[in-house]
Formats: sequence, structure tokens, C-alpha cells
Amino acid sequence: MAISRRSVSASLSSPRLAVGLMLYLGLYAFAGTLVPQGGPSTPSVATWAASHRALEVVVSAIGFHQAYYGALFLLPMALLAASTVACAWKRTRLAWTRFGVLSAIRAGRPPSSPIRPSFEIDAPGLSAAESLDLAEHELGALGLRVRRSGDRLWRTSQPAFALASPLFHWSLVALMLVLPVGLLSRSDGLVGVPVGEAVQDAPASYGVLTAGPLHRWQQPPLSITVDRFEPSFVFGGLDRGPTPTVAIRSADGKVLASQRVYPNSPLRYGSVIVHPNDHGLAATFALLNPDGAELTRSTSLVDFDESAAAGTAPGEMTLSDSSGQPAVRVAVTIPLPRKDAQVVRLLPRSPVARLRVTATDGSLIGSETLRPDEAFRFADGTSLRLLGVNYYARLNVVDDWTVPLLYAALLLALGGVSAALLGGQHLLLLTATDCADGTKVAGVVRMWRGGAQSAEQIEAALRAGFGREREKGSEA
Amino acid sequence: MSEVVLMWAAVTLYTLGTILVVFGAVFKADRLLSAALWVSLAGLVPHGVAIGLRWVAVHHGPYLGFYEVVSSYAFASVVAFGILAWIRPQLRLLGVVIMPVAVLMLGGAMLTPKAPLGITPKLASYWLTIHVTFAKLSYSSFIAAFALALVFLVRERRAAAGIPSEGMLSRLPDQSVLDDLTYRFVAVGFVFLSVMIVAGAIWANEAWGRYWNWDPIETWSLISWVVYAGYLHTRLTLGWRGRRAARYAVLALPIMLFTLIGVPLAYHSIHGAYLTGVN
Repeated sequence: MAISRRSVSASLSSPRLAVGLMLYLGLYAFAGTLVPQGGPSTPSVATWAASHRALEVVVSAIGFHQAYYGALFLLPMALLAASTVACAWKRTRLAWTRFGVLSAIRAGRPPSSPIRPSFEIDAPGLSAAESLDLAEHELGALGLRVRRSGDRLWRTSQPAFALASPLFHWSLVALMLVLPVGLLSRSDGLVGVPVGEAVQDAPASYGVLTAGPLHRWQQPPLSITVDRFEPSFVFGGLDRGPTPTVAIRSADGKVLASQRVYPNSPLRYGSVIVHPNDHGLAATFALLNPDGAELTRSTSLVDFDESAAAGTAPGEMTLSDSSGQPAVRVAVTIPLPRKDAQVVRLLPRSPVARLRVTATDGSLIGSETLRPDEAFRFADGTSLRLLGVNYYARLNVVDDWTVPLLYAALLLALGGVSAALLGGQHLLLLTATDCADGTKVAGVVRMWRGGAQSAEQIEAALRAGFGREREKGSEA
Repeated sequence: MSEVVLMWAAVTLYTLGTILVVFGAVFKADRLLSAALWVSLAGLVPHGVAIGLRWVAVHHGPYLGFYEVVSSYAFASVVAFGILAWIRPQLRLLGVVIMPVAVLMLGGAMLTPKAPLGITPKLASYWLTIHVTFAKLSYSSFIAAFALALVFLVRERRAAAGIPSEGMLSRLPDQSVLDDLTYRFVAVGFVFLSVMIVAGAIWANEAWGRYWNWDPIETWSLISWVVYAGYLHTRLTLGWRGRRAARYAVLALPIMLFTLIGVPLAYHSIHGAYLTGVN
């Protein structure tokens, strides 16, 4: 049996399908909250897996720790997206017709296609004008104010409200397109930037990075610098905490955007947005040859660690030999004082760096505590000089050009749903036509959405009113 | 100290309002129902002043900590009662449903620690006010819908059992009016809920660089939105009216309540700090 386009469209736009898929979305989303979400290395996932071994077999088999990125979720949502498109298309055609009818009636024009009357009332003995006077009075008693022109009496909702539901549904379609495009093309990563140094916005700079396959890294790459670091920044009467001043620079070093970055005050440039994530300390070293000439510089990022004796976890550096092969590993800690058993997370006035130098096979070469400008000497005459210790800022850098589109779609959806639900869609049109024995009043009542009275109530009120008038006439 | 005294005054007035509305319903006394309404609305005065005093003292609205948050939802419940009674005086009877909820909420909040939670840098944004305000407005609308739907079902059940509608129940508007009002309150609440979610997503992107992270509160907000979207869909496209629609509106409110108050207690969530103070 051939499947026609019409039957596919009818199936996709079925309200039952939409409601069923929404029900599935709700139940699946609920189920997803019962299991920690994330990769295998996510601490909450690992803890749960260890304590629910039997369940973990099933959960990991169906990929439920990534519940919202698996086929069990994405396929039904793709079907919901298709259903929304079909619904939006169907509603648009209907809404456009209604818009045309309502606009025509408000403008005093006949609608482009005739509208079947809902009822007809005979008003013998009354002229057209008298009939409309009576109708206006009866409708007024129902609380309905109407407008009148010539032989018509009418009341309509704003024509634009008829387009609100399609607007809402098309906005949802737009969202459903923008969201996956955004996911595929965004990059989101954590990068450590020492004060006074520049880091390129490129994959190699990021410690943690998620980049979609469609993400295009800017060429030449932008660079990110931390020009200043304030351990405490008070603004608006509130201490905003450790606050770096971050700059985004072009490849030639020109500042494109710069500001202090703290929670709810990110730095933006184009599609790039930079948030503060954390901070630590950075020890910068220069590797010198036996003659004292600088061969290379390296910076070790050192994080605070309450469980470590020194108060910092070792920052690792690898130094290469002249052929570029890793030669030695250097673990750097920066001892910090404690106050009330808590590590004081501030740069000491006189910082020192404790080095533990090992060969690539793990054998200890030496350990030493250095002050700035002091050096660790290797057997071959090279030395590793500590240039200085400063702060570093860990920044969350997101590049997502679809965010403005997402915002636009959300705002349109909000406008659409508000107008669709809160605005009415209704039409009341009475036309009076003189006949041989009186007047015939034809009424068109469409209460598509909203309206304090139903079509039946309006018709009943008018019939009752005209009925009373007929009785008066017959008594007379 | 004065804030606590004012809150207990509000609890007392709400409790008195609850007693009056129950007696008014049972003994079919219009005067008691009127008194219940006015006493309950009077409770909004000390309650509102207490919220205001605390707002000035802690430099933020009723957004943080179980005490503040649940107290403000109790306030929203009584406001919903007031609005229903203003729309149609016969709806004062719905206080039988709403006022006990308000009393339990505020009374429960009064028994929890009241130490203020300070605004942290992560919460210091005007989006917090927008997001929370629309959460309260949506809740207020949905509890009104819940009360209307519940009363609809009670009357429907009595009619089905052949019990003639008499007394207070008979003075309520027609079933069709209750049904229509339920839909309207759900519609308004849905718009407010949508604004709450959109404001939350925009704020999350501003604060964290991620507008959606499937955090439990975000997920449950979506579940609530889908549940009420389902109500609207079944009504507007499948023509569900009357008993089916009323049952839906009644069953939907607990989901919304769980989202607003239960999720931070049941799940570990970055959002949970606003209720528990623990991140």
C-alpha cells in the first residue's frame, strides 16, 4: 500500500501523537533524573556505579548515564520535531484564513471566501436598523460590546492573535533546529591563564574541552590574557570573590574586549563568552643553557588542595631535551600557610616553589626549594630558574554563535504562546437584510478560542430577545 | 524578632481563615465564608510586612532558604484565593482547598531554621528576581486551577452518585464555568511558567555559559512544562473538557510543587543551594 504524503502529514500532525510524545518526554526526563548523568569519569557516576553494580550493568548497556544524548531520547524528540513541523504547517494555513476573515470584517470588506451563517433569525415587523438595535441591546446585556456599520454589527478579536499559535509552534521548530546546530558547533572548555601571559584560543590550550564537529576555530586564533588578578573585588556592596581582568586579543595583540570577569559578569566578544571558573597559582620558569642564555620558558599551574600538606597539589611540567624528547619531569608545589586549618588561598608575600625533579623513568634527580631568581642546576650545566610566582585564572570559554538565535526563538515562542493563550480568537457578525415581511438577521459566531460566552449562549440570547419582540408585536 | 511575631500573626490569621471557611462550607453560612475571606486577606498584611522587613534586613527578596521560599509560596496561595474570590464571590468556597495548603506551608516554614542565606556572587543578578517572580506567579495560577478542578470533581461525583447539589456547592458557578476558569488559570500559569524557564535558561547562560545542562531542577521544570502543555493540548486539540480535564489539572499540581520545593531536597543539584544553602 503506497504511503501518501497526505497520510504521513496527517499522522505527524495528529494531536494524539504529539500528546503521546510529550508524555514520553516527561516520563523519560523523569527517569533520567534517577541516575547520575555524565561520562564514566564523572565522580557522581563512578560513585553510583560502584554502589549499584547490578543496576549499572543495565544502565550502562542502554547508555542511560548519557540519557539525554542517546537514541532512546533523540529519536522520539526528532519525531516530536517532525510532528511540530506538521502541526505548525497545518495551523498556519488555518490561522492565515482566520486572519484574513477577521481583518476583512474589521475593515468592512466581505471576506474573500463566504462564511456560512451560524443561525438566521426572522424579525418580522422590524426594519434592518431596528433589528440591529435590538441585537446590540441583547449582546450588551451579555457584556459584549459590538461595533456597527451600515447593515452589519460585529465584534472580533485582534486578527494578529490568530497567527499566535503558528508563531509559537514555528518558534519551537526553530528551537529544535538551533539547539542541535548549537551543540554541534559550539566549543566549551576550561583554560588556565597565568597573570601576564597570553594563551591562544586553540584546542591545545585547553585542559578540558568539548568541541562539536562543526566548530570552526578562528584563524589566526584569538588570544586570551589575564592582565590583572584581584583576590577580592567588591562591587555593588558584594564581594565578587577572586576576580581576573581578562582580555581577548587579536593575533597581533590588539585588545578586542577587556573587563573584570566575575559571576554574572562574563566577558563577551562576538560569539565568545568567558566566565570565571576558579583560580590558583602559577610558577614561571626559564630553562637556561650552561652559558646562562634562556632556552625556553614554562609555567606550571598549581592548584589549591586542602588535603595536601603544602596546601597545593603538584603542578606538573615536562622539560624536553635538544631533540624535543621529554627528558625530565618537574613537580612544583607552592607551600601555603593555613588559618583555622584552611589553606590561605592567597599569593604569599614571599612565595617559594618546591621542586621535585624526576627522570622519565621516575627516578629522582633532585629536589629543591627555590625563591624567585634562584635556579635548580642539572648535571649537564643547564639550570631551571624560577622567574616568579603569580596567580592564574581558570576560565570557562564558550564559543557558540547560535545563542542569539536561541534567544530570539525563545522570545518569539513566549510571545506566541502568550498571545495564543491569553488573546482570544472569536468572531461575531450580524447582518440584517430587509425582506418583504420584515428583516432576516443572519449571524456568524465563531468562538475559536476564548470569549466569555459560547456561541450557543449568544444565539440563545438573540433568539430570546427577538422572540420577546415578536410577542410584543403580536400582542399589539 | 518582630518579623517572627508578624509571621506567627499571619499563621494565626490564616488558620482562623481556614477554620471559618470550613465551618462556612459545612454549615452553609455565607457570613462565615465572607469572614474567612477577609481574615485570610488580612493575614497577607503581617505576612507581607514580615517579608518586607526581612527583605530590607538581608538585602534580597524571599528567594533563599526553605523558610523564605516556602513562606512566599504560602503568600502566593492566599493571593490566589483572593483573586478567585474577586473574580466570582461564589468562589470563596475554594478557600476550603487553598487555605489549608497555605497554613501548612507557612506553619511548616516557621518550624525550619530562619538564618538568612546571603546573596552569593553566583546569585547576584536581576535575572534572579525575574526568574523567581514568575515561579511564584505560575504556582499561584496553578493552585487556583487545582482548587477549581477539585471542586468540579467533587460536584461531579456527587451528581454521578445521585446526591442533589445543595448548600454551598450549589451556589458555585456552573460546572462549565468552573471548567472554563480552570483552563484559563492553567493557561495563565503556563505562560508564567514558560517565562520562568526562559529567564532561567538565559540566566544560566550568562552565569555558567550553558543555557541547559539537564540539572534535576531544570529537568523537572521541563517536566512540569510538558505536563501543563499536555493539559492545554488535550483541551484545545482533543477537546478534553469536564471530568478528564479536571482530573488532569488536579494531578498536575503535585508535579509542579515537587519541582518548586521538592527537587532541591531530593536531588543534589547546583540549583539546590537556593533552598538548602548547600551547593
